[in-house]
Amino acid sequence: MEKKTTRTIRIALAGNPNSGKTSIFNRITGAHQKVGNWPGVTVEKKTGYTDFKGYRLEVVDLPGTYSLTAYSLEERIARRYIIESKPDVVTNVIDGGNLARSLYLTTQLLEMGVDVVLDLNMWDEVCKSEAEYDLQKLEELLGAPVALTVGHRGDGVDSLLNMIVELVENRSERHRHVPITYGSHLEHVVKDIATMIEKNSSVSNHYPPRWLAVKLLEGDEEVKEIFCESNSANTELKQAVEAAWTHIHKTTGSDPERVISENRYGYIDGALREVISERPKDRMELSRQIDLVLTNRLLGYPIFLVLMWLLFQLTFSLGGYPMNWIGTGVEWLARLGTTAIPPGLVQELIVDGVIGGVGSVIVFLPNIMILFLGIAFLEDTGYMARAAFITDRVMHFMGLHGKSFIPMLMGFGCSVPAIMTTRTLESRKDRVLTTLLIPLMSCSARLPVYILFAGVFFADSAGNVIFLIYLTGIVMAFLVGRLFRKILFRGEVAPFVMELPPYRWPTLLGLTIHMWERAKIYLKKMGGVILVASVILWFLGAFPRDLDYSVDYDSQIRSLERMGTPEAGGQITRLRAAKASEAIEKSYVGRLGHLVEPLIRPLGFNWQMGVGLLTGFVAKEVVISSMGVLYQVGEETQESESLKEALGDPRHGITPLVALGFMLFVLLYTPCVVAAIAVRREIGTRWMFFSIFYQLVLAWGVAFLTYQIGTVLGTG
Amino acid sequence: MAESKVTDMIESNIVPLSQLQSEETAIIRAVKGRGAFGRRLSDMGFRAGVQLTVIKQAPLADPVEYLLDGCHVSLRREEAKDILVERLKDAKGGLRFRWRRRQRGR
Repeated sequence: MEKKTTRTIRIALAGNPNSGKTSIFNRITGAHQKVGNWPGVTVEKKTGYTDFKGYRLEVVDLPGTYSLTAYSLEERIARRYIIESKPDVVTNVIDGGNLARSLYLTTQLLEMGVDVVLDLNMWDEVCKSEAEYDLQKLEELLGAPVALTVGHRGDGVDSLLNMIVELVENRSERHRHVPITYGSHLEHVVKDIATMIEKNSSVSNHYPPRWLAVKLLEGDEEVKEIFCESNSANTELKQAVEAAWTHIHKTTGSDPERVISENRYGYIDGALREVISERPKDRMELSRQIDLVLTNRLLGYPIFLVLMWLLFQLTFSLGGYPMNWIGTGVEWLARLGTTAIPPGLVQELIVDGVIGGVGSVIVFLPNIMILFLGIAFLEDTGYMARAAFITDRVMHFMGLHGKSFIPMLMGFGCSVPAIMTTRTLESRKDRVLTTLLIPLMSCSARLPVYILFAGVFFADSAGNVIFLIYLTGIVMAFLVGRLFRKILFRGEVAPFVMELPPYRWPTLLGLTIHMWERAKIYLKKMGGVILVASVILWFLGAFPRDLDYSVDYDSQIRSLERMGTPEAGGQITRLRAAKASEAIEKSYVGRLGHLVEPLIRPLGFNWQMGVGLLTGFVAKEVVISSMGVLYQVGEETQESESLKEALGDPRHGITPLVALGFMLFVLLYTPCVVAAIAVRREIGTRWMFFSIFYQLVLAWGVAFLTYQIGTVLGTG
Repeated sequence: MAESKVTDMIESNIVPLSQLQSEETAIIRAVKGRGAFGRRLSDMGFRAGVQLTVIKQAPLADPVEYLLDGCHVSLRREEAKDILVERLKDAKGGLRFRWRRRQRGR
């Protein structure tokens, strides 16, 4: 039977969330996976392939859904792929212990007229629950071959693939098209409309007429558009659908959409009565015992907090070690570059631009890998749903979902991995809103700025001031979240129906694949852009080259060097600092700092602070070093007392009030260019610009109010 | 028992899902939500005629965990208001059930 030439079979994996679809996908494709986005949207698309019995099996993992309506982006993506790309086989992965609800999706797949292979996954659990199914009957009733698998062990995957090949080779006797029939009220209406559609060959060649008929009766907006062209056939159809709609509404007293859904369940219940001879025993028993502790009224929160503390510590404290090694490695490379390459433009470009840029990318890698390992663990065990369950009340208050809690919390460590974890949220609205709010959680890179400024201006109460700043970020997230939910994401809110899956032991394969995927996305998809952005920012600081210095520093330094006296050494340092300061003032960044001065005047900021904020787009640590240069204390001495003295110097006009406004500004504006790129990667370019814009407006507004109100109250 | 009395009893037994207490069992009689909202509920198995049990509330009383179709699902209280259910006697017997109902009496 085996063929010499490789033929390609295109397989789409469909199924409910928590059906173990991903583990089946991992088992089939192994290392041959690619993660990208569905065209035009930032919903993840996983593809992979494997060679099997002379065939190249190309597998697409569709978003996990419970249904195939037009109401959610994920469902639209899944059905659009099935209708438009016409895969050879749709493999419907089903949680074997939960047939009733899983088959709801199956009936919709069958209605689309595609060839379906049913995969009853987690079969080991079904066996353990002592359930008895008549599988032959199930195949007969649905007209689809049934495979049994245990995804996490890989059992049965080969026979699943065999079944797929058989189906494509037309050897499967178990496969035939069985129409999903509706009750008497509906059936003839659906048939009539389907017949009308069939006559319109330009449509019925592309879409299964019966599916269209059902969707039209449901009032599906997307399907209606297929028939939007005004011609006699469409008008006739529209009238027929409207008449049918009223008829159904009159006879049943509810919307056709409801009636169709009830009929579908009726069909499934009928089928299952014949298939199931012994219902599965409650397989949640163990999970319920565990939940007595984990979601307990008293213990639930403490345990949750301990787990979060652990995750945070692992990610940012343990992750801090490899982060430091990478940092040292990058520094070593930079030093090597400085000695190996003759001074000049090329050296600066390579050392400051490229090595610095690459450094800023890979330095986050340990955090990202550890965090995603932890997230994958929480998710695969089933605890993530419980965490969402117990935090939902709090998060709902700011218009978010319980699952947003963990990404927001991780934002206190670093926005970049935190933004990447928003992938765990199912609805796009929640994902966008959470991504927009994460940067308001004060990331650890901002802390040095607070420590410096609070230390100088609020010596004794520095700790309280820093706490206040963190708190402001959280309060702002609440306010902005509620506001955005009201203006940007108006309209019907999807209910918070969330499944609490049984606790399961995660597999090493699943965890590592998840971790590598994130690391790869970060390096490949984001690394390049971050590098370019870093080089641009370096360019702004280093150019133009031919500066007219107010003083001829170089010749003065040379003459002092010739003298070689001890005092001359001190003078040289001062001259060098003055030169560096003037260089940055006259660079593009410095000019920008002067340019924005009128904008930041009302906040009480001087142009040096403006430059500090501008360079802060690279990373928040840079705010300190660039202000160090501007105040002529030199980059090397940023940790020392001299910068503190310079900042506190009354001549520079920074009052405690201004310092407070500055810290608030640093808290509220874009964390760094890497975070902005992460936002773009997760929710798209337009949202990235929106995110930068709203944060700048917010930061400006808060700093403005702080300064103006403070001045009026006379605390300045 | 007169027929009208039976219907009265059944009607008085129909309450929004949000009013059930932990460990109570009920049968869904109607799902009120329309459009995306109602659809999502029915896609997740909340449909007329199906039996469900209240498992527990989250530590802050909201959301609530339910068992239906052998599956554990959580739903916010304000959303559970849109689902009308008919109470069944809980496992501990009808007497206790009646007593509890009068106690709450909402």
